[in-house]
Amino acid sequence: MSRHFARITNDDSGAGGDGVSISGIWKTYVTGNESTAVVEDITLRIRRGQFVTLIGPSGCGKSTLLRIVAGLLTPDRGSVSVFGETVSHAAESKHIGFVPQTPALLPWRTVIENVALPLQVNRHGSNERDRRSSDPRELLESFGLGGVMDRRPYELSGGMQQRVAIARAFVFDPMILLMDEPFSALDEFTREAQRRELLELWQSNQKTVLFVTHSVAEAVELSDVIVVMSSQPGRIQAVIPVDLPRPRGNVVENSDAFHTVEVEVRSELRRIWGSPE
Amino acid sequence: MTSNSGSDPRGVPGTIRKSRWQALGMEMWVPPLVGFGLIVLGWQLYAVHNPYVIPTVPQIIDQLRTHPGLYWHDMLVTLQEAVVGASCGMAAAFLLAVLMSHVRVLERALMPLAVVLNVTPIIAIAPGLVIAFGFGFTPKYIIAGVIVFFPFLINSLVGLRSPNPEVLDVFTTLHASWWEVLWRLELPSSLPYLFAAARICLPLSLIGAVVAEFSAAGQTTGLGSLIETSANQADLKAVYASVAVLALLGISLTFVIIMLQRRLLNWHESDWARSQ
Repeated sequence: MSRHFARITNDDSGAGGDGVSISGIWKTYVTGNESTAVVEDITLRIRRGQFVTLIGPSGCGKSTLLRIVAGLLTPDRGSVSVFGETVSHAAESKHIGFVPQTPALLPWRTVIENVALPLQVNRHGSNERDRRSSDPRELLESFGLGGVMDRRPYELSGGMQQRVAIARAFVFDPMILLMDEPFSALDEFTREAQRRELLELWQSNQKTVLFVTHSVAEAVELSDVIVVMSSQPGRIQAVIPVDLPRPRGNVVENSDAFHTVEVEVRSELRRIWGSPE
Repeated sequence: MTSNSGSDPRGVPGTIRKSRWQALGMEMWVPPLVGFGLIVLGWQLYAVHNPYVIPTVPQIIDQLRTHPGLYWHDMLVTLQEAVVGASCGMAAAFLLAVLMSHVRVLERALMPLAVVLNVTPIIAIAPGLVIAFGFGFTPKYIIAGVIVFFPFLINSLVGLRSPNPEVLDVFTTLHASWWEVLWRLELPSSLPYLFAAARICLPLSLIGAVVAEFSAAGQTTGLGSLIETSANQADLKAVYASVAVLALLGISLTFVIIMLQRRLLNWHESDWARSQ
Protein backbone atom coordinates (compact mmCIF):
# COMPACT_ATOMS: atom_id res chain seq x y z
CA MET A 1 0.00 0.00 0.00
CA SER A 2 1.31 3.37 -0.94
CA ARG A 3 -0.47 5.43 1.64
CA HIS A 4 2.74 6.56 3.25
CA PHE A 5 3.65 8.42 0.14
CA ALA A 6 0.32 10.09 -0.37
CA ARG A 7 0.63 13.83 -0.46
CA ILE A 8 -1.73 16.68 -0.04
CA THR A 9 -2.10 18.48 -3.31
CA ASN A 10 -3.66 21.87 -3.72
CA ASP A 11 -4.98 21.31 -7.20
CA ASP A 12 -8.39 19.86 -7.84
CA SER A 13 -7.30 17.38 -10.47
CA GLY A 14 -7.92 13.69 -10.14
CA ALA A 15 -11.01 11.96 -8.84
CA GLY A 16 -13.02 14.85 -7.39
CA GLY A 17 -15.34 12.63 -5.40
CA ASP A 18 -12.66 10.72 -3.59
CA GLY A 19 -11.59 12.46 -0.42
CA VAL A 20 -12.29 15.80 1.14
CA SER A 21 -11.50 19.01 -0.63
CA ILE A 22 -11.55 22.34 1.10
CA SER A 23 -11.26 25.21 -1.32
CA GLY A 24 -10.80 28.88 -0.60
CA ILE A 25 -12.40 28.98 2.84
CA TRP A 26 -12.75 32.35 4.56
CA LYS A 27 -14.43 32.92 7.89
CA THR A 28 -14.77 36.12 9.88
CA TYR A 29 -16.30 36.51 13.32
CA VAL A 30 -18.08 39.76 14.07
CA THR A 31 -18.32 40.90 17.66
CA GLY A 32 -19.85 44.34 18.07
CA ASN A 33 -18.01 46.68 15.71
CA GLU A 34 -14.95 44.52 15.40
CA SER A 35 -14.56 41.75 12.89
CA THR A 36 -11.79 39.22 13.21
CA ALA A 37 -10.68 37.08 10.32
CA VAL A 38 -10.29 33.62 11.83
CA VAL A 39 -9.62 31.59 8.75
CA GLU A 40 -8.29 33.07 5.53
CA ASP A 41 -8.14 31.40 2.16
CA ILE A 42 -7.64 27.81 3.25
CA THR A 43 -7.33 25.26 0.49
CA LEU A 44 -6.61 21.66 1.34
CA ARG A 45 -7.18 18.21 -0.05
CA ILE A 46 -7.42 15.09 2.02
CA ARG A 47 -7.23 11.76 0.23
CA ARG A 48 -9.33 8.80 1.20
CA GLY A 49 -7.73 6.96 4.08
CA GLN A 50 -5.35 9.76 4.99
CA PHE A 51 -4.72 10.90 8.53
CA VAL A 52 -4.33 14.68 8.41
CA THR A 53 -3.53 16.80 11.45
CA LEU A 54 -4.11 20.50 11.88
CA ILE A 55 -1.65 22.06 14.29
CA GLY A 56 -1.03 25.65 15.29
CA PRO A 57 -1.12 28.11 18.16
CA SER A 58 -4.42 28.68 19.89
CA GLY A 59 -6.63 31.04 17.98
CA CYS A 60 -5.24 29.95 14.63
CA GLY A 61 -8.64 28.84 13.49
CA LYS A 62 -7.91 25.13 13.37
CA SER A 63 -11.03 24.30 15.35
CA THR A 64 -13.01 26.75 13.22
CA LEU A 65 -11.84 24.97 10.08
CA LEU A 66 -12.77 21.61 11.58
CA ARG A 67 -16.21 22.93 12.51
CA ILE A 68 -16.70 24.19 8.96
CA VAL A 69 -15.90 20.74 7.58
CA ALA A 70 -18.30 19.26 10.15
CA GLY A 71 -21.06 21.57 8.97
CA LEU A 72 -21.31 23.22 12.38
CA LEU A 73 -20.24 26.56 10.90
CA THR A 74 -20.79 27.98 7.44
CA PRO A 75 -17.87 29.69 5.75
CA ASP A 76 -18.21 33.25 4.44
CA ARG A 77 -16.54 32.20 1.22
CA GLY A 78 -15.31 28.97 -0.29
CA SER A 79 -16.64 25.45 -0.32
CA VAL A 80 -16.05 22.06 1.17
CA SER A 81 -16.73 18.81 -0.59
CA VAL A 82 -16.84 15.58 1.37
CA PHE A 83 -16.42 12.65 -1.02
CA GLY A 84 -18.16 14.56 -3.75
CA GLU A 85 -21.04 15.79 -1.60
CA THR A 86 -21.70 19.14 0.04
CA VAL A 87 -21.23 19.16 3.80
CA SER A 88 -24.95 19.29 4.50
CA HIS A 89 -25.60 16.35 2.18
CA ALA A 90 -22.77 14.45 3.83
CA ALA A 91 -24.30 15.13 7.26
CA GLU A 92 -27.71 14.08 5.98
CA SER A 93 -26.37 10.71 4.91
CA LYS A 94 -24.36 10.43 8.12
CA HIS A 95 -20.95 10.48 6.53
CA ILE A 96 -19.41 12.70 9.19
CA GLY A 97 -18.20 11.37 12.51
CA PHE A 98 -17.42 14.07 15.04
CA VAL A 99 -15.38 13.62 18.23
CA PRO A 100 -15.45 16.79 20.35
CA GLN A 101 -12.92 17.92 22.95
CA THR A 102 -14.86 16.48 25.86
CA PRO A 103 -16.47 13.04 25.62
CA ALA A 104 -19.94 14.69 25.50
CA LEU A 105 -21.77 11.51 26.47
CA LEU A 106 -25.39 11.40 27.58
CA PRO A 107 -25.29 10.81 31.35
CA TRP A 108 -28.65 9.03 31.46
CA ARG A 109 -27.56 6.43 28.93
CA THR A 110 -25.33 3.48 29.62
CA VAL A 111 -22.11 3.09 27.63
CA ILE A 112 -23.72 0.82 25.06
CA GLU A 113 -26.75 3.07 24.74
CA ASN A 114 -24.46 6.03 24.15
CA VAL A 115 -22.64 4.18 21.42
CA ALA A 116 -25.94 3.14 19.84
CA LEU A 117 -27.17 6.74 19.67
CA PRO A 118 -25.96 7.47 16.11
CA LEU A 119 -27.85 4.39 14.90
CA GLN A 120 -31.07 5.68 16.47
CA VAL A 121 -31.15 9.23 15.13
CA ASN A 122 -31.59 10.21 11.49
CA ARG A 123 -32.39 6.61 10.54
CA HIS A 124 -32.99 7.25 6.88
CA GLY A 125 -29.46 8.66 6.67
CA SER A 126 -28.05 5.18 7.26
CA ASN A 127 -30.02 3.51 4.49
CA GLU A 128 -27.10 2.99 2.21
CA ARG A 129 -26.13 -0.22 0.54
CA ASP A 130 -22.42 -0.45 1.19
CA ARG A 131 -22.62 0.72 4.75
CA ARG A 132 -20.89 -1.33 7.41
CA SER A 133 -22.53 -0.09 10.59
CA SER A 134 -21.12 -2.06 13.49
CA ASP A 135 -22.96 -3.87 16.20
CA PRO A 136 -22.38 -1.64 19.25
CA ARG A 137 -21.71 -4.70 21.40
CA GLU A 138 -18.99 -6.08 19.16
CA LEU A 139 -17.50 -2.64 18.65
CA LEU A 140 -17.23 -2.05 22.39
CA GLU A 141 -15.61 -5.46 22.83
CA SER A 142 -13.01 -4.52 20.24
CA PHE A 143 -12.46 -1.20 22.01
CA GLY A 144 -11.75 -3.08 25.23
CA LEU A 145 -14.90 -1.65 26.77
CA GLY A 146 -16.85 -4.91 26.87
CA GLY A 147 -16.77 -4.99 30.65
CA VAL A 148 -18.29 -1.57 31.19
CA MET A 149 -21.04 -1.67 28.56
CA ASP A 150 -23.84 -1.36 31.07
CA ARG A 151 -22.17 1.29 33.23
CA ARG A 152 -23.10 4.94 33.19
CA PRO A 153 -20.48 7.38 31.87
CA TYR A 154 -19.78 8.97 35.27
CA GLU A 155 -18.59 5.62 36.55
CA LEU A 156 -15.76 5.59 33.99
CA SER A 157 -12.40 7.36 33.96
CA GLY A 158 -11.82 10.28 31.61
CA GLY A 159 -9.80 8.15 29.21
CA MET A 160 -12.47 5.49 29.04
CA GLN A 161 -15.17 8.10 28.46
CA GLN A 162 -13.17 9.46 25.54
CA ARG A 163 -12.83 5.94 24.14
CA VAL A 164 -16.62 5.59 24.32
CA ALA A 165 -16.94 8.87 22.42
CA ILE A 166 -14.61 7.55 19.72
CA ALA A 167 -16.56 4.29 19.54
CA ARG A 168 -19.70 6.36 19.09
CA ALA A 169 -18.10 8.01 16.06
CA PHE A 170 -17.00 4.67 14.59
CA VAL A 171 -20.26 2.78 15.03
CA PHE A 172 -22.11 4.19 12.03
CA ASP A 173 -19.17 3.86 9.65
CA PRO A 174 -18.78 7.52 8.64
CA MET A 175 -16.58 8.37 5.68
CA ILE A 176 -14.58 10.95 7.59
CA LEU A 177 -13.72 11.31 11.25
CA LEU A 178 -13.30 14.84 12.57
CA MET A 179 -11.53 15.01 15.90
CA ASP A 180 -11.20 18.27 17.80
CA GLU A 181 -8.33 17.84 20.29
CA PRO A 182 -10.01 14.72 21.65
CA PHE A 183 -7.19 13.91 24.09
CA SER A 184 -6.49 17.39 25.38
CA ALA A 185 -8.39 16.91 28.61
CA LEU A 186 -6.50 13.74 29.53
CA ASP A 187 -3.33 13.31 31.56
CA GLU A 188 -0.10 12.50 29.74
CA PHE A 189 -0.13 8.74 30.41
CA THR A 190 -3.71 8.27 29.35
CA ARG A 191 -3.05 10.45 26.32
CA GLU A 192 -0.20 8.23 25.25
CA ALA A 193 -2.31 5.09 25.55
CA GLN A 194 -5.20 6.69 23.71
CA ARG A 195 -2.95 7.70 20.80
CA ARG A 196 -1.70 4.15 20.47
CA GLU A 197 -5.21 2.82 20.46
CA LEU A 198 -6.38 5.34 17.93
CA LEU A 199 -3.46 4.41 15.67
CA GLU A 200 -4.32 0.73 15.89
CA LEU A 201 -7.94 1.43 15.15
CA TRP A 202 -7.10 3.63 12.24
CA GLN A 203 -4.72 1.01 10.91
CA SER A 204 -7.49 -1.56 10.78
CA ASN A 205 -10.29 0.75 9.64
CA GLN A 206 -8.56 2.94 7.07
CA LYS A 207 -10.73 5.88 7.92
CA THR A 208 -10.10 9.33 6.58
CA VAL A 209 -9.29 11.51 9.59
CA LEU A 210 -8.94 15.22 10.15
CA PHE A 211 -7.45 15.72 13.58
CA VAL A 212 -6.89 18.97 15.47
CA THR A 213 -4.15 19.08 18.09
CA HIS A 214 -1.65 21.42 19.67
CA SER A 215 0.84 18.70 20.51
CA VAL A 216 3.71 18.31 18.01
CA ALA A 217 4.59 14.80 19.16
CA GLU A 218 0.97 13.72 18.81
CA ALA A 219 0.79 15.14 15.30
CA VAL A 220 3.97 13.42 14.15
CA GLU A 221 3.05 10.12 15.73
CA LEU A 222 -0.40 9.97 14.17
CA SER A 223 -0.35 11.71 10.83
CA ASP A 224 0.32 11.12 7.18
CA VAL A 225 0.31 14.86 6.69
CA ILE A 226 0.68 17.72 9.15
CA VAL A 227 -0.87 21.07 8.27
CA VAL A 228 0.74 23.90 10.27
CA MET A 229 -1.52 26.92 10.64
CA SER A 230 -0.48 30.46 11.52
CA SER A 231 -2.68 32.56 13.73
CA GLN A 232 -4.74 35.70 13.26
CA PRO A 233 -5.71 35.29 10.58
CA GLY A 234 -5.49 31.52 10.30
CA ARG A 235 -3.61 30.58 7.16
CA ILE A 236 -1.78 27.47 6.08
CA GLN A 237 1.84 28.02 7.02
CA ALA A 238 3.19 24.70 5.82
CA VAL A 239 2.10 21.27 4.73
CA ILE A 240 4.51 18.67 6.03
CA PRO A 241 4.25 15.07 4.84
CA VAL A 242 5.20 12.45 7.39
CA ASP A 243 6.86 9.61 5.51
CA LEU A 244 7.40 7.36 8.47
CA PRO A 245 6.69 3.65 8.26
CA ARG A 246 3.57 2.24 9.80
CA PRO A 247 2.66 0.74 12.17
CA ARG A 248 4.49 3.25 14.31
CA GLY A 249 5.80 1.82 17.53
CA ASN A 250 8.60 2.79 19.87
CA VAL A 251 11.21 2.01 17.23
CA VAL A 252 9.80 4.57 14.84
CA GLU A 253 9.30 7.12 17.56
CA ASN A 254 12.92 6.93 18.57
CA SER A 255 14.21 7.06 15.01
CA ASP A 256 16.05 9.98 13.51
CA ALA A 257 13.42 10.35 10.81
CA PHE A 258 10.79 10.93 13.49
CA HIS A 259 12.87 13.63 15.12
CA THR A 260 13.58 15.25 11.78
CA VAL A 261 9.84 15.69 11.16
CA GLU A 262 9.33 16.89 14.71
CA VAL A 263 12.05 19.50 14.30
CA GLU A 264 10.57 20.61 10.99
CA VAL A 265 7.13 21.12 12.54
CA ARG A 266 8.62 22.97 15.49
CA SER A 267 10.64 25.29 13.28
CA GLU A 268 7.53 26.12 11.26
CA LEU A 269 5.69 26.90 14.47
CA ARG A 270 8.60 29.07 15.61
CA ARG A 271 8.43 31.02 12.38
CA ILE A 272 4.82 31.89 13.24
CA TRP A 273 5.87 33.25 16.62
CA GLY A 274 8.73 35.16 14.98
CA SER A 275 6.56 36.83 12.37
CA PRO A 276 5.35 40.36 13.18
CA GLU A 277 1.72 39.35 12.75
CA MET B 1 -25.87 4.59 71.54
CA THR B 2 -23.25 1.91 70.96
CA SER B 3 -21.87 1.33 67.53
CA ASN B 4 -21.83 -2.18 66.10
CA SER B 5 -19.94 -1.19 63.01
CA GLY B 6 -16.85 -3.21 63.92
CA SER B 7 -18.62 -6.49 63.33
CA ASP B 8 -19.88 -5.58 59.88
CA PRO B 9 -18.15 -8.05 57.55
CA ARG B 10 -19.00 -6.08 54.42
CA GLY B 11 -16.90 -3.15 55.51
CA VAL B 12 -14.85 -2.06 52.49
CA PRO B 13 -11.54 -0.32 53.10
CA GLY B 14 -11.86 3.36 52.42
CA THR B 15 -15.60 3.57 52.96
CA ILE B 16 -17.07 4.83 56.18
CA ARG B 17 -18.84 2.04 57.95
CA LYS B 18 -22.40 2.65 58.94
CA SER B 19 -23.47 2.44 62.55
CA ARG B 20 -26.82 0.95 63.42
CA TRP B 21 -28.17 4.46 63.95
CA GLN B 22 -27.37 5.27 60.33
CA ALA B 23 -28.34 1.88 58.99
CA LEU B 24 -31.91 2.24 60.21
CA GLY B 25 -32.20 5.65 58.61
CA MET B 26 -32.69 7.19 62.04
CA GLU B 27 -30.37 10.00 61.11
CA MET B 28 -32.97 10.96 58.57
CA TRP B 29 -36.15 10.46 60.56
CA VAL B 30 -35.42 11.29 64.15
CA PRO B 31 -34.48 15.01 63.93
CA PRO B 32 -37.58 16.08 61.97
CA LEU B 33 -39.82 13.93 64.19
CA VAL B 34 -38.37 15.54 67.32
CA GLY B 35 -38.84 19.00 65.79
CA PHE B 36 -42.41 18.21 64.85
CA GLY B 37 -43.13 16.80 68.28
CA LEU B 38 -41.87 19.96 69.97
CA ILE B 39 -44.11 22.14 67.84
CA VAL B 40 -47.16 19.98 68.58
CA LEU B 41 -46.32 20.19 72.26
CA GLY B 42 -46.02 23.99 72.12
CA TRP B 43 -49.29 24.19 70.22
CA GLN B 44 -51.02 22.05 72.79
CA LEU B 45 -49.72 24.12 75.73
CA TYR B 46 -50.88 27.34 74.09
CA ALA B 47 -54.26 25.89 73.08
CA VAL B 48 -55.05 24.67 76.60
CA HIS B 49 -54.64 28.21 77.95
CA ASN B 50 -56.31 30.01 75.01
CA PRO B 51 -59.27 27.84 74.06
CA TYR B 52 -60.91 30.53 71.90
CA VAL B 53 -57.87 31.17 69.69
CA ILE B 54 -56.83 27.71 68.59
CA PRO B 55 -58.22 24.23 69.27
CA THR B 56 -56.20 21.61 71.11
CA VAL B 57 -54.51 18.78 69.26
CA PRO B 58 -56.91 16.08 70.56
CA GLN B 59 -59.83 18.24 69.45
CA ILE B 60 -58.48 18.39 65.91
CA ILE B 61 -57.85 14.65 65.82
CA ASP B 62 -61.30 14.02 67.24
CA GLN B 63 -62.85 16.24 64.57
CA LEU B 64 -61.16 14.22 61.84
CA ARG B 65 -62.16 10.92 63.46
CA THR B 66 -65.81 11.78 63.79
CA HIS B 67 -66.27 13.12 60.25
CA PRO B 68 -63.92 11.02 58.10
CA GLY B 69 -66.25 11.00 55.08
CA LEU B 70 -66.55 14.78 54.99
CA TYR B 71 -62.81 15.42 55.05
CA TRP B 72 -62.07 12.59 52.66
CA HIS B 73 -64.57 13.91 50.14
CA ASP B 74 -63.43 17.53 50.40
CA MET B 75 -59.81 16.47 50.18
CA LEU B 76 -60.51 14.60 46.95
CA VAL B 77 -62.22 17.68 45.49
CA THR B 78 -59.30 19.98 46.34
CA LEU B 79 -56.80 17.36 45.19
CA GLN B 80 -58.57 17.06 41.85
CA GLU B 81 -58.62 20.83 41.37
CA ALA B 82 -54.95 21.16 42.22
CA VAL B 83 -53.65 18.18 40.27
CA VAL B 84 -55.72 18.70 37.13
CA GLY B 85 -55.02 22.43 37.14
CA ALA B 86 -51.31 22.00 37.81
CA SER B 87 -50.96 19.29 35.15
CA CYS B 88 -52.58 21.48 32.51
CA GLY B 89 -50.57 24.51 33.60
CA MET B 90 -47.28 22.62 33.61
CA ALA B 91 -47.99 20.97 30.26
CA ALA B 92 -48.88 24.32 28.69
CA ALA B 93 -45.78 25.95 30.20
CA PHE B 94 -43.52 23.17 28.91
CA LEU B 95 -44.97 23.31 25.40
CA LEU B 96 -44.56 27.07 25.34
CA ALA B 97 -40.97 26.69 26.57
CA VAL B 98 -40.25 24.25 23.71
CA LEU B 99 -41.63 26.78 21.23
CA MET B 100 -39.73 29.64 22.84
CA SER B 101 -36.43 27.77 22.87
CA HIS B 102 -36.74 27.07 19.15
CA VAL B 103 -38.19 30.41 18.03
CA ARG B 104 -36.44 33.27 19.76
CA VAL B 105 -39.00 35.81 18.51
CA LEU B 106 -41.73 33.99 20.37
CA GLU B 107 -39.78 34.30 23.59
CA ARG B 108 -39.40 38.03 23.13
CA ALA B 109 -43.09 38.39 22.26
CA LEU B 110 -44.58 36.23 24.97
CA MET B 111 -42.21 36.44 27.93
CA PRO B 112 -43.43 39.91 29.01
CA LEU B 113 -47.00 38.61 29.01
CA ALA B 114 -45.95 35.66 31.12
CA VAL B 115 -44.26 38.06 33.53
CA VAL B 116 -47.44 40.15 33.79
CA LEU B 117 -49.41 36.99 34.52
CA ASN B 118 -46.86 36.12 37.18
CA VAL B 119 -46.78 39.45 38.99
CA THR B 120 -50.57 39.81 39.11
CA PRO B 121 -51.77 38.55 42.51
CA ILE B 122 -53.73 35.42 41.86
CA ILE B 123 -56.35 36.35 44.45
CA ALA B 124 -57.22 39.41 42.40
CA ILE B 125 -58.27 37.46 39.33
CA ALA B 126 -60.18 34.74 41.16
CA PRO B 127 -63.52 36.57 41.53
CA GLY B 128 -63.48 37.59 37.87
CA LEU B 129 -62.87 34.01 36.78
CA VAL B 130 -65.76 32.82 38.93
CA ILE B 131 -68.09 35.28 37.24
CA ALA B 132 -66.84 34.23 33.81
CA PHE B 133 -66.79 30.47 34.34
CA GLY B 134 -69.32 29.85 37.11
CA PHE B 135 -69.04 27.94 40.33
CA GLY B 136 -67.91 24.62 38.86
CA PHE B 137 -64.43 23.17 38.53
CA THR B 138 -63.31 25.31 35.60
CA PRO B 139 -62.22 28.48 37.46
CA LYS B 140 -60.38 26.31 40.02
CA TYR B 141 -58.45 24.51 37.31
CA ILE B 142 -57.58 27.82 35.70
CA ILE B 143 -56.31 29.37 38.92
CA ALA B 144 -54.29 26.30 39.91
CA GLY B 145 -52.91 26.22 36.35
CA VAL B 146 -52.05 29.92 36.24
CA ILE B 147 -50.24 29.83 39.56
CA VAL B 148 -47.85 27.07 38.41
CA PHE B 149 -47.43 28.37 34.88
CA PHE B 150 -44.60 30.84 35.33
CA PRO B 151 -42.25 28.90 37.60
CA PHE B 152 -42.62 25.88 35.34
CA LEU B 153 -42.06 27.94 32.20
CA ILE B 154 -38.83 29.45 33.48
CA ASN B 155 -37.47 26.13 34.70
CA SER B 156 -38.41 24.40 31.45
CA LEU B 157 -36.58 27.05 29.45
CA VAL B 158 -33.44 26.76 31.56
CA GLY B 159 -33.67 22.96 31.34
CA LEU B 160 -34.15 22.87 27.58
CA ARG B 161 -31.09 25.04 27.19
CA SER B 162 -28.97 23.01 29.59
CA PRO B 163 -27.44 20.42 27.22
CA ASN B 164 -23.68 20.65 26.74
CA PRO B 165 -23.05 22.43 23.38
CA GLU B 166 -20.63 19.69 22.36
CA VAL B 167 -23.36 17.06 22.69
CA LEU B 168 -25.52 19.27 20.52
CA ASP B 169 -22.64 19.35 17.99
CA VAL B 170 -22.67 15.56 17.87
CA PHE B 171 -26.43 15.58 17.20
CA THR B 172 -25.98 18.23 14.51
CA THR B 173 -23.26 16.32 12.66
CA LEU B 174 -25.57 13.29 12.70
CA HIS B 175 -28.24 15.48 11.13
CA ALA B 176 -30.73 14.66 13.88
CA SER B 177 -34.15 16.25 13.42
CA TRP B 178 -35.39 18.86 15.89
CA TRP B 179 -37.73 16.24 17.24
CA GLU B 180 -34.87 13.79 17.85
CA VAL B 181 -32.89 16.53 19.58
CA LEU B 182 -35.89 17.35 21.76
CA TRP B 183 -36.74 13.77 22.60
CA ARG B 184 -33.28 12.27 23.01
CA LEU B 185 -31.36 15.25 24.33
CA GLU B 186 -33.28 18.30 25.49
CA LEU B 187 -36.11 16.55 27.31
CA PRO B 188 -33.89 14.17 29.32
CA SER B 189 -31.47 17.02 30.07
CA SER B 190 -34.28 19.18 31.38
CA LEU B 191 -35.79 16.50 33.64
CA PRO B 192 -33.82 17.61 36.74
CA TYR B 193 -35.13 21.15 36.23
CA LEU B 194 -38.67 19.93 35.59
CA PHE B 195 -38.68 17.92 38.79
CA ALA B 196 -37.30 20.82 40.80
CA ALA B 197 -40.10 22.93 39.34
CA ALA B 198 -42.76 20.30 40.04
CA ARG B 199 -41.76 20.22 43.70
CA ILE B 200 -42.56 23.91 43.86
CA CYS B 201 -45.56 23.83 41.56
CA LEU B 202 -47.70 21.07 43.07
CA PRO B 203 -47.86 22.66 46.54
CA LEU B 204 -48.43 26.01 44.80
CA SER B 205 -51.38 24.55 42.95
CA LEU B 206 -52.92 23.58 46.30
CA ILE B 207 -52.77 27.25 47.24
CA GLY B 208 -54.43 28.09 43.95
CA ALA B 209 -57.21 25.58 44.50
CA VAL B 210 -57.90 26.79 48.05
CA VAL B 211 -57.90 30.45 47.01
CA ALA B 212 -60.30 29.65 44.20
CA GLU B 213 -62.62 27.90 46.61
CA PHE B 214 -62.52 30.90 48.97
CA SER B 215 -63.92 33.12 46.27
CA ALA B 216 -66.39 30.62 44.91
CA ALA B 217 -67.68 28.49 47.70
CA GLY B 218 -70.61 26.85 46.03
CA GLN B 219 -70.96 23.74 44.03
CA THR B 220 -67.49 22.40 44.50
CA THR B 221 -66.96 21.81 48.16
CA GLY B 222 -63.30 21.32 48.80
CA LEU B 223 -61.20 22.01 51.85
CA GLY B 224 -61.05 25.73 51.02
CA SER B 225 -64.84 26.00 51.05
CA LEU B 226 -64.91 23.98 54.25
CA ILE B 227 -62.47 26.38 55.91
CA GLU B 228 -64.49 29.35 54.71
CA THR B 229 -67.84 28.08 56.03
CA SER B 230 -66.34 26.75 59.27
CA ALA B 231 -64.59 30.06 59.96
CA ASN B 232 -67.88 31.91 59.44
CA GLN B 233 -69.44 29.66 62.08
CA ALA B 234 -66.40 30.09 64.36
CA ASP B 235 -65.89 26.31 64.20
CA LEU B 236 -62.16 26.35 64.96
CA LYS B 237 -61.87 22.57 65.17
CA ALA B 238 -63.11 22.19 61.58
CA VAL B 239 -60.88 25.01 60.33
CA TYR B 240 -57.72 23.46 61.74
CA ALA B 241 -58.72 19.94 60.84
CA SER B 242 -58.98 21.12 57.23
CA VAL B 243 -55.61 22.84 57.49
CA ALA B 244 -54.08 19.62 58.81
CA VAL B 245 -55.55 17.66 55.91
CA LEU B 246 -54.18 20.24 53.46
CA ALA B 247 -50.73 19.95 55.00
CA LEU B 248 -50.86 16.17 54.69
CA LEU B 249 -51.98 16.53 51.10
CA GLY B 250 -49.03 18.81 50.32
CA ILE B 251 -46.61 16.39 51.95
CA SER B 252 -48.06 13.46 49.99
CA LEU B 253 -47.78 15.31 46.68
CA THR B 254 -44.17 16.24 47.41
CA PHE B 255 -43.46 12.65 48.40
CA VAL B 256 -44.86 11.35 45.11
CA ILE B 257 -42.64 13.78 43.17
CA ILE B 258 -39.55 12.74 45.12
CA MET B 259 -40.27 9.07 44.46
CA LEU B 260 -40.70 9.70 40.74
CA GLN B 261 -37.55 11.79 40.72
CA ARG B 262 -35.50 9.01 42.31
CA ARG B 263 -36.81 6.56 39.79
CA LEU B 264 -36.18 8.68 36.70
CA LEU B 265 -33.12 10.66 37.68
CA ASN B 266 -30.82 8.00 39.07
CA TRP B 267 -28.26 9.11 36.48
CA HIS B 268 -28.14 12.68 37.70
CA GLU B 269 -25.43 14.29 39.85
CA SER B 270 -27.96 15.22 42.52
CA ASP B 271 -28.55 11.52 42.94
CA TRP B 272 -24.96 10.31 43.17
CA ALA B 273 -24.45 11.26 46.78
CA ARG B 274 -27.33 9.03 47.75
CA SER B 275 -25.94 5.99 45.97
CA GLN B 276 -22.50 6.27 47.50
